[in-house]
Amino acid sequence: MADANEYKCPCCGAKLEFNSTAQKMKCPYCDSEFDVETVQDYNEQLQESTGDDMTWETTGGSEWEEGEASNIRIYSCKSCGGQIMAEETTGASFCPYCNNPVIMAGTFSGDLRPDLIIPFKLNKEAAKAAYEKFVTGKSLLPKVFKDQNHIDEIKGLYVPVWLFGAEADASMCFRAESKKTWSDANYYYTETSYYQAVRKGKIAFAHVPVDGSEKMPDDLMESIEPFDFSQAVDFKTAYLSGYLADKYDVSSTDSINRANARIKRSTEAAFQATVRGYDTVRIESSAVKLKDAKSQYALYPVWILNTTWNNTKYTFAMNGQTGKIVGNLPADKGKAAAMFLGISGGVGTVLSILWLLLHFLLGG
Amino acid sequence: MGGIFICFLIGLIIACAVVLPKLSALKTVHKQTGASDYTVKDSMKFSENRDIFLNTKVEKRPRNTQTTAQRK
Repeated sequence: MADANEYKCPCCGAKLEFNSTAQKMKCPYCDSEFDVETVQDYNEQLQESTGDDMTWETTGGSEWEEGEASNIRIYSCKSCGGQIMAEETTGASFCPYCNNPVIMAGTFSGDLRPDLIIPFKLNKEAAKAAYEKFVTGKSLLPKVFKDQNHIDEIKGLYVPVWLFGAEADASMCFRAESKKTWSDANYYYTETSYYQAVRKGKIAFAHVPVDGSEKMPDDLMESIEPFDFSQAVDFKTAYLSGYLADKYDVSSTDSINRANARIKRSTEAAFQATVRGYDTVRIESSAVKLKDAKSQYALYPVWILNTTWNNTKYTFAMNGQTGKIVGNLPADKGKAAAMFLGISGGVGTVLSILWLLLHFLLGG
Repeated sequence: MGGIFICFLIGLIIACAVVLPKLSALKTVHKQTGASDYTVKDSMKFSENRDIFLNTKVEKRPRNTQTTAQRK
Protein backbone atom coordinates (compact mmCIF):
# COMPACT_ATOMS: atom_id res chain seq x y z
CA MET A 1 0.00 0.00 0.00
CA ALA A 2 2.99 2.30 0.36
CA ASP A 3 3.16 2.66 -3.44
CA ALA A 4 -0.48 3.73 -3.58
CA ASN A 5 0.45 6.92 -1.73
CA GLU A 6 2.73 7.88 -4.59
CA TYR A 7 -0.04 7.83 -7.19
CA LYS A 8 -0.64 11.19 -8.76
CA CYS A 9 -4.03 12.71 -9.52
CA PRO A 10 -4.36 13.00 -13.34
CA CYS A 11 -6.44 16.17 -12.87
CA CYS A 12 -4.32 18.25 -10.48
CA GLY A 13 -1.14 16.27 -9.82
CA ALA A 14 -1.75 15.88 -6.05
CA LYS A 15 -1.26 12.58 -4.22
CA LEU A 16 -4.29 10.31 -4.42
CA GLU A 17 -5.72 8.43 -1.45
CA PHE A 18 -7.81 5.26 -1.40
CA ASN A 19 -11.38 5.96 -0.35
CA SER A 20 -12.75 2.82 1.35
CA THR A 21 -16.40 3.93 1.07
CA ALA A 22 -16.30 4.56 -2.66
CA GLN A 23 -13.69 1.81 -3.23
CA LYS A 24 -11.92 4.27 -5.49
CA MET A 25 -8.82 6.45 -5.51
CA LYS A 26 -9.82 9.96 -4.49
CA CYS A 27 -7.98 13.27 -4.69
CA PRO A 28 -8.24 15.21 -1.40
CA TYR A 29 -7.66 18.49 -3.25
CA CYS A 30 -9.91 18.41 -6.31
CA ASP A 31 -12.28 15.60 -5.20
CA SER A 32 -11.77 13.66 -8.42
CA GLU A 33 -12.38 9.92 -8.19
CA PHE A 34 -10.72 7.21 -10.24
CA ASP A 35 -10.83 3.43 -10.57
CA VAL A 36 -7.79 1.80 -9.00
CA GLU A 37 -6.86 0.09 -12.30
CA THR A 38 -7.08 3.37 -14.23
CA VAL A 39 -4.76 5.16 -11.80
CA GLN A 40 -2.31 2.28 -11.75
CA ASP A 41 -2.16 2.19 -15.54
CA TYR A 42 -1.86 5.98 -15.73
CA ASN A 43 1.09 6.11 -13.32
CA GLU A 44 2.82 3.12 -14.92
CA GLN A 45 2.71 4.83 -18.30
CA LEU A 46 4.14 8.01 -16.78
CA GLN A 47 7.04 6.17 -15.17
CA GLU A 48 7.80 4.29 -18.38
CA SER A 49 8.05 7.54 -20.31
CA THR A 50 10.97 9.08 -18.43
CA GLY A 51 14.68 9.11 -19.06
CA ASP A 52 16.30 9.90 -22.40
CA ASP A 53 19.11 7.91 -23.93
CA MET A 54 20.57 10.12 -26.65
CA THR A 55 24.11 8.93 -27.25
CA TRP A 56 25.89 9.23 -30.57
CA GLU A 57 28.58 7.51 -32.50
CA THR A 58 30.65 10.55 -33.46
CA THR A 59 32.49 9.15 -36.42
CA GLY A 60 32.14 12.09 -38.79
CA GLY A 61 35.10 13.14 -40.90
CA SER A 62 37.97 11.12 -42.27
CA GLU A 63 41.72 11.33 -42.76
CA TRP A 64 43.16 13.44 -45.57
CA GLU A 65 44.88 11.54 -48.32
CA GLU A 66 48.54 12.23 -48.84
CA GLY A 67 49.12 15.40 -50.84
CA GLU A 68 45.38 16.17 -51.05
CA ALA A 69 45.58 19.25 -48.85
CA SER A 70 49.04 20.42 -49.94
CA ASN A 71 47.66 23.41 -51.87
CA ILE A 72 45.42 24.55 -49.00
CA ARG A 73 46.68 27.43 -46.89
CA ILE A 74 45.55 28.46 -43.45
CA TYR A 75 44.90 32.12 -42.76
CA SER A 76 44.58 33.47 -39.26
CA CYS A 77 42.70 36.58 -38.14
CA LYS A 78 44.61 38.47 -35.46
CA SER A 79 41.48 40.32 -34.44
CA CYS A 80 38.93 37.54 -33.78
CA GLY A 81 41.28 34.54 -33.82
CA GLY A 82 39.34 32.84 -36.61
CA GLN A 83 41.18 30.46 -38.91
CA ILE A 84 40.05 29.96 -42.47
CA MET A 85 41.25 27.79 -45.31
CA ALA A 86 41.70 28.81 -48.91
CA GLU A 87 43.35 27.27 -51.92
CA GLU A 88 46.77 28.66 -52.69
CA THR A 89 45.46 30.32 -55.85
CA THR A 90 42.38 31.81 -54.16
CA GLY A 91 44.17 33.28 -51.14
CA ALA A 92 42.51 35.37 -48.46
CA SER A 93 43.12 38.88 -47.27
CA PHE A 94 40.20 39.63 -44.95
CA CYS A 95 38.42 37.63 -42.27
CA PRO A 96 34.88 36.78 -43.47
CA TYR A 97 33.48 37.18 -39.96
CA CYS A 98 35.01 40.41 -38.61
CA ASN A 99 36.39 41.84 -41.86
CA ASN A 100 39.85 42.47 -40.40
CA PRO A 101 43.04 41.56 -42.31
CA VAL A 102 44.20 37.96 -42.07
CA ILE A 103 47.73 36.61 -42.33
CA MET A 104 48.86 33.30 -43.76
CA ALA A 105 49.59 30.98 -40.88
CA GLY A 106 50.99 28.07 -42.91
CA THR A 107 49.95 25.06 -44.88
CA PHE A 108 47.04 22.89 -43.89
CA SER A 109 47.69 19.98 -41.57
CA GLY A 110 45.77 17.83 -39.13
CA ASP A 111 42.01 18.03 -38.57
CA LEU A 112 39.45 15.86 -40.22
CA ARG A 113 38.60 15.75 -43.88
CA PRO A 114 34.96 16.63 -44.59
CA ASP A 115 32.80 13.71 -45.71
CA LEU A 116 30.48 15.80 -47.85
CA ILE A 117 30.09 19.23 -49.38
CA ILE A 118 27.16 21.14 -50.85
CA PRO A 119 28.70 23.19 -53.67
CA PHE A 120 27.76 26.84 -54.17
CA LYS A 121 24.85 27.21 -56.56
CA LEU A 122 24.47 31.00 -56.38
CA ASN A 123 27.22 33.46 -57.25
CA LYS A 124 28.26 36.85 -55.82
CA GLU A 125 25.88 38.74 -58.12
CA ALA A 126 22.98 36.68 -56.82
CA ALA A 127 24.07 37.52 -53.26
CA LYS A 128 24.16 41.25 -54.11
CA ALA A 129 20.72 41.06 -55.73
CA ALA A 130 19.32 39.16 -52.74
CA TYR A 131 20.70 41.80 -50.36
CA GLU A 132 19.15 44.60 -52.43
CA LYS A 133 15.79 42.83 -52.36
CA PHE A 134 16.21 42.11 -48.64
CA VAL A 135 16.55 45.80 -47.71
CA THR A 136 13.81 46.99 -50.07
CA GLY A 137 10.38 47.77 -48.68
CA LYS A 138 11.56 48.13 -45.08
CA SER A 139 10.40 51.60 -44.26
CA LEU A 140 12.06 51.80 -40.82
CA LEU A 141 15.51 50.91 -42.12
CA PRO A 142 18.10 53.75 -42.15
CA LYS A 143 18.47 55.06 -45.69
CA VAL A 144 22.19 54.34 -45.90
CA PHE A 145 21.48 50.62 -45.73
CA LYS A 146 19.63 50.77 -48.99
CA ASP A 147 22.77 51.90 -50.74
CA GLN A 148 24.34 48.78 -52.17
CA ASN A 149 27.81 50.34 -52.14
CA HIS A 150 27.69 50.35 -48.39
CA ILE A 151 28.37 46.60 -48.24
CA ASP A 152 32.00 46.32 -47.20
CA GLU A 153 32.63 42.76 -48.32
CA ILE A 154 30.82 39.77 -49.78
CA LYS A 155 32.59 36.46 -49.32
CA GLY A 156 31.69 32.94 -50.26
CA LEU A 157 32.47 30.74 -47.30
CA TYR A 158 32.10 27.02 -46.73
CA VAL A 159 30.93 26.66 -43.13
CA PRO A 160 31.71 23.41 -41.29
CA VAL A 161 28.64 21.59 -40.01
CA TRP A 162 28.10 18.33 -38.19
CA LEU A 163 25.19 16.37 -39.59
CA PHE A 164 23.33 14.12 -37.22
CA GLY A 165 21.01 11.30 -38.23
CA ALA A 166 19.22 8.78 -36.05
CA GLU A 167 16.05 6.88 -35.40
CA ALA A 168 14.28 8.25 -32.34
CA ASP A 169 12.49 5.56 -30.35
CA ALA A 170 10.08 7.52 -28.22
CA SER A 171 7.59 6.88 -25.45
CA MET A 172 5.31 9.76 -24.49
CA CYS A 173 2.27 10.51 -22.39
CA PHE A 174 0.02 13.47 -23.00
CA ARG A 175 -2.78 14.82 -20.87
CA ALA A 176 -5.79 15.79 -22.90
CA GLU A 177 -8.97 17.56 -21.87
CA SER A 178 -12.34 18.02 -23.52
CA LYS A 179 -14.77 20.63 -22.27
CA LYS A 180 -18.51 20.81 -22.75
CA THR A 181 -20.66 23.69 -21.43
CA TRP A 182 -24.43 24.10 -21.06
CA SER A 183 -26.85 25.88 -18.78
CA ASP A 184 -30.32 25.60 -17.25
CA ALA A 185 -32.48 28.20 -15.51
CA ASN A 186 -30.22 28.37 -12.46
CA TYR A 187 -26.69 27.27 -13.38
CA TYR A 188 -23.94 27.26 -15.98
CA TYR A 189 -22.30 23.83 -16.21
CA THR A 190 -18.82 22.89 -17.40
CA GLU A 191 -18.03 19.24 -17.90
CA THR A 192 -14.33 18.45 -18.22
CA SER A 193 -13.29 14.99 -19.39
CA TYR A 194 -9.70 13.93 -18.72
CA TYR A 195 -7.74 11.52 -20.91
CA GLN A 196 -4.26 10.13 -21.01
CA ALA A 197 -2.88 9.68 -24.52
CA VAL A 198 -0.06 7.16 -24.80
CA ARG A 199 2.18 7.24 -27.88
CA LYS A 200 5.05 4.83 -28.37
CA GLY A 201 6.89 4.50 -31.63
CA LYS A 202 9.71 5.75 -33.76
CA ILE A 203 10.58 8.54 -36.13
CA ALA A 204 13.74 9.01 -38.15
CA PHE A 205 15.84 12.14 -38.67
CA ALA A 206 18.52 12.62 -41.30
CA HIS A 207 21.23 15.25 -41.64
CA VAL A 208 20.24 17.57 -38.79
CA PRO A 209 22.93 20.25 -39.08
CA VAL A 210 24.81 21.81 -36.17
CA ASP A 211 27.22 24.66 -36.80
CA GLY A 212 30.81 23.48 -36.30
CA SER A 213 32.35 26.94 -36.33
CA GLU A 214 32.70 29.05 -33.23
CA LYS A 215 33.05 32.25 -35.24
CA MET A 216 29.87 31.69 -37.25
CA PRO A 217 26.96 32.67 -35.00
CA ASP A 218 24.72 29.61 -34.48
CA ASP A 219 21.50 31.59 -34.83
CA LEU A 220 22.65 33.11 -38.14
CA MET A 221 23.53 29.67 -39.53
CA GLU A 222 20.25 28.13 -38.36
CA SER A 223 18.27 31.04 -39.81
CA ILE A 224 19.36 30.23 -43.37
CA GLU A 225 18.24 26.59 -43.11
CA PRO A 226 17.13 24.38 -44.66
CA PHE A 227 19.80 23.25 -47.09
CA ASP A 228 18.85 20.69 -49.73
CA PHE A 229 20.94 17.73 -48.74
CA SER A 230 20.09 15.80 -51.92
CA GLN A 231 22.62 18.05 -53.67
CA ALA A 232 25.46 17.11 -51.32
CA VAL A 233 28.40 15.37 -52.95
CA ASP A 234 31.55 13.65 -51.72
CA PHE A 235 34.10 16.22 -50.65
CA LYS A 236 36.84 17.18 -53.10
CA THR A 237 39.26 20.07 -52.60
CA ALA A 238 38.42 21.32 -56.12
CA TYR A 239 35.09 22.65 -54.77
CA LEU A 240 37.01 25.08 -52.54
CA SER A 241 38.47 26.89 -55.54
CA GLY A 242 37.43 30.55 -55.45
CA TYR A 243 35.92 30.30 -51.99
CA LEU A 244 37.06 30.37 -48.39
CA ALA A 245 36.44 27.51 -46.01
CA ASP A 246 36.25 27.62 -42.27
CA LYS A 247 37.92 24.94 -40.16
CA TYR A 248 35.73 23.29 -37.56
CA ASP A 249 36.60 24.36 -34.06
CA VAL A 250 33.53 22.88 -32.37
CA SER A 251 33.84 19.10 -32.25
CA SER A 252 31.01 16.72 -33.09
CA THR A 253 30.89 15.70 -29.40
CA ASP A 254 30.34 19.32 -28.40
CA SER A 255 27.56 19.65 -30.99
CA ILE A 256 25.53 16.71 -29.68
CA ASN A 257 23.49 18.68 -27.14
CA ARG A 258 22.18 21.03 -29.81
CA ALA A 259 21.27 18.13 -32.13
CA ASN A 260 19.54 16.29 -29.26
CA ALA A 261 17.51 19.36 -28.26
CA ARG A 262 16.24 19.82 -31.82
CA ILE A 263 15.48 16.14 -32.38
CA LYS A 264 13.68 15.76 -29.05
CA ARG A 265 11.59 18.85 -29.65
CA SER A 266 10.51 17.73 -33.12
CA THR A 267 9.79 14.19 -31.95
CA GLU A 268 7.52 15.55 -29.22
CA ALA A 269 5.80 17.91 -31.67
CA ALA A 270 5.25 15.10 -34.22
CA PHE A 271 3.80 12.74 -31.60
CA GLN A 272 1.66 15.48 -30.03
CA ALA A 273 0.18 16.29 -33.44
CA THR A 274 -1.40 12.82 -33.46
CA VAL A 275 -3.37 13.51 -30.24
CA ARG A 276 -6.45 14.99 -31.87
CA GLY A 277 -10.03 15.80 -30.99
CA TYR A 278 -9.39 17.48 -27.63
CA ASP A 279 -9.62 21.08 -26.48
CA THR A 280 -6.23 21.06 -24.76
CA VAL A 281 -3.27 18.70 -24.98
CA ARG A 282 -0.08 18.98 -23.00
CA ILE A 283 2.91 16.72 -22.64
CA GLU A 284 3.23 14.93 -19.31
CA SER A 285 6.27 12.76 -19.83
CA SER A 286 8.62 11.91 -22.64
CA ALA A 287 11.54 9.57 -23.18
CA VAL A 288 13.57 9.48 -26.36
CA LYS A 289 16.13 6.78 -27.10
CA LEU A 290 18.28 7.05 -30.21
CA LYS A 291 19.19 4.15 -32.47
CA ASP A 292 21.76 4.13 -35.29
CA ALA A 293 22.84 7.61 -34.18
CA LYS A 294 25.66 8.72 -36.43
CA SER A 295 27.27 12.00 -37.42
CA GLN A 296 28.97 13.23 -40.56
CA TYR A 297 31.20 16.20 -41.26
CA ALA A 298 30.17 18.48 -44.12
CA LEU A 299 30.78 21.93 -45.58
CA TYR A 300 27.78 24.13 -46.38
CA PRO A 301 27.91 27.14 -48.75
CA VAL A 302 27.20 30.57 -47.27
CA TRP A 303 27.62 34.07 -48.65
CA ILE A 304 28.68 36.41 -45.85
CA LEU A 305 27.93 40.11 -46.27
CA ASN A 306 29.41 42.62 -43.86
CA THR A 307 28.49 46.24 -43.43
CA THR A 308 29.20 48.97 -40.89
CA TRP A 309 26.84 51.63 -39.69
CA ASN A 310 27.27 53.99 -36.73
CA ASN A 311 30.45 52.12 -35.76
CA THR A 312 28.52 48.86 -35.44
CA LYS A 313 29.23 45.88 -37.66
CA TYR A 314 26.30 44.04 -39.20
CA THR A 315 26.66 40.58 -40.69
CA PHE A 316 24.22 39.04 -43.13
CA ALA A 317 24.27 35.48 -44.35
CA MET A 318 22.81 34.03 -47.52
CA ASN A 319 22.29 30.34 -48.13
CA GLY A 320 24.61 29.72 -51.10
CA GLN A 321 22.27 27.02 -52.34
CA THR A 322 18.74 28.35 -51.87
CA GLY A 323 19.31 32.13 -51.71
CA LYS A 324 17.62 32.61 -48.34
CA ILE A 325 19.14 35.71 -46.75
CA VAL A 326 18.98 36.79 -43.11
CA GLY A 327 20.51 39.38 -40.82
CA ASN A 328 19.33 41.77 -38.17
CA LEU A 329 18.94 45.27 -39.55
CA PRO A 330 19.11 48.45 -37.49
CA ALA A 331 15.98 50.54 -37.00
CA ASP A 332 15.84 54.26 -37.62
CA LYS A 333 14.51 55.26 -34.21
CA GLY A 334 13.62 58.79 -35.35
CA LYS A 335 11.58 57.42 -38.26
CA ALA A 336 9.87 54.87 -36.00
CA ALA A 337 8.95 57.55 -33.43
CA ALA A 338 7.68 59.90 -36.14
CA MET A 339 5.58 57.13 -37.69
CA PHE A 340 4.18 56.14 -34.30
CA LEU A 341 3.28 59.71 -33.30
CA GLY A 342 1.92 60.50 -36.77
CA ILE A 343 -0.40 57.50 -36.87
CA SER A 344 -1.59 57.76 -33.27
CA GLY A 345 -2.07 61.55 -33.49
CA GLY A 346 -3.73 61.38 -36.92
CA VAL A 347 -6.10 58.55 -36.09
CA GLY A 348 -6.85 60.07 -32.67
CA THR A 349 -7.67 63.47 -34.17
CA VAL A 350 -9.88 62.07 -36.95
CA LEU A 351 -11.79 59.85 -34.54
CA SER A 352 -12.17 62.74 -32.06
CA ILE A 353 -13.67 64.99 -34.76
CA LEU A 354 -16.06 62.24 -35.81
CA TRP A 355 -16.99 61.60 -32.20
CA LEU A 356 -17.64 65.33 -31.53
CA LEU A 357 -19.73 65.62 -34.71
CA LEU A 358 -21.78 62.59 -33.73
CA HIS A 359 -22.12 63.93 -30.21
CA PHE A 360 -23.44 67.33 -31.37
CA LEU A 361 -25.75 65.85 -34.02
CA LEU A 362 -27.34 63.39 -31.63
CA GLY A 363 -27.28 65.79 -28.67
CA GLY A 364 -28.53 68.74 -30.66
CA MET B 1 -13.59 64.25 -22.54
CA GLY B 2 -13.76 60.50 -21.94
CA GLY B 3 -14.75 59.94 -25.58
CA ILE B 4 -11.79 61.94 -26.89
CA PHE B 5 -9.45 60.03 -24.60
CA ILE B 6 -10.78 56.75 -26.04
CA CYS B 7 -10.30 58.10 -29.59
CA PHE B 8 -6.60 58.80 -28.91
CA LEU B 9 -6.24 55.46 -27.15
CA ILE B 10 -7.53 53.76 -30.32
CA GLY B 11 -4.98 55.83 -32.27
CA LEU B 12 -2.18 54.55 -30.02
CA ILE B 13 -3.32 50.94 -30.47
CA ILE B 14 -3.46 51.32 -34.28
CA ALA B 15 0.00 52.94 -34.27
CA CYS B 16 1.36 49.99 -32.28
CA ALA B 17 -0.27 47.55 -34.70
CA VAL B 18 1.40 49.30 -37.65
CA VAL B 19 4.86 50.12 -36.23
CA LEU B 20 5.67 46.98 -34.19
CA PRO B 21 5.40 44.50 -37.13
CA LYS B 22 7.61 46.83 -39.19
CA LEU B 23 10.22 46.81 -36.42
CA SER B 24 10.09 43.03 -36.00
CA ALA B 25 10.51 42.60 -39.78
CA LEU B 26 14.02 44.03 -39.34
CA LYS B 27 15.00 41.06 -37.16
CA THR B 28 15.28 37.89 -39.20
CA VAL B 29 17.86 35.95 -37.19
CA HIS B 30 16.20 33.28 -35.05
CA LYS B 31 17.39 29.95 -33.72
CA GLN B 32 15.54 26.90 -35.02
CA THR B 33 13.30 25.31 -32.43
CA GLY B 34 13.29 21.80 -33.85
CA ALA B 35 14.44 19.59 -36.66
CA SER B 36 11.16 19.05 -38.50
CA ASP B 37 12.84 19.86 -41.84
CA TYR B 38 14.98 16.78 -41.38
CA THR B 39 12.42 14.12 -40.51
CA VAL B 40 12.56 11.19 -42.88
CA LYS B 41 9.32 11.03 -44.86
CA ASP B 42 6.81 8.42 -43.64
CA SER B 43 9.23 7.24 -40.95
CA MET B 44 6.84 7.80 -38.02
CA LYS B 45 5.40 4.48 -36.89
CA PHE B 46 3.58 3.70 -33.66
CA SER B 47 3.84 0.50 -31.65
CA GLU B 48 1.30 1.80 -29.14
CA ASN B 49 -1.25 4.49 -29.80
CA ARG B 50 -4.15 4.69 -27.36
CA ASP B 51 -6.19 7.26 -25.52
CA ILE B 52 -7.34 6.28 -22.03
CA PHE B 53 -10.37 7.91 -20.48
CA LEU B 54 -9.61 8.89 -16.87
CA ASN B 55 -12.66 10.66 -15.48
CA THR B 56 -15.15 13.46 -15.89
CA LYS B 57 -15.79 16.40 -13.61
CA VAL B 58 -18.79 18.69 -13.71
CA GLU B 59 -18.56 22.18 -12.24
CA LYS B 60 -21.57 24.47 -11.89
CA ARG B 61 -21.75 28.19 -11.46
CA PRO B 62 -24.96 30.01 -10.53
CA ARG B 63 -26.61 32.28 -13.09
CA ASN B 64 -26.92 35.90 -12.02
CA THR B 65 -30.73 35.72 -12.04
CA GLN B 66 -31.20 38.06 -9.05
CA THR B 67 -29.62 41.04 -10.81
CA THR B 68 -31.84 40.46 -13.83
CA ALA B 69 -34.93 40.34 -11.62
CA GLN B 70 -33.97 43.53 -9.78
CA ARG B 71 -33.50 45.39 -13.05
CA LYS B 72 -37.01 44.41 -14.09
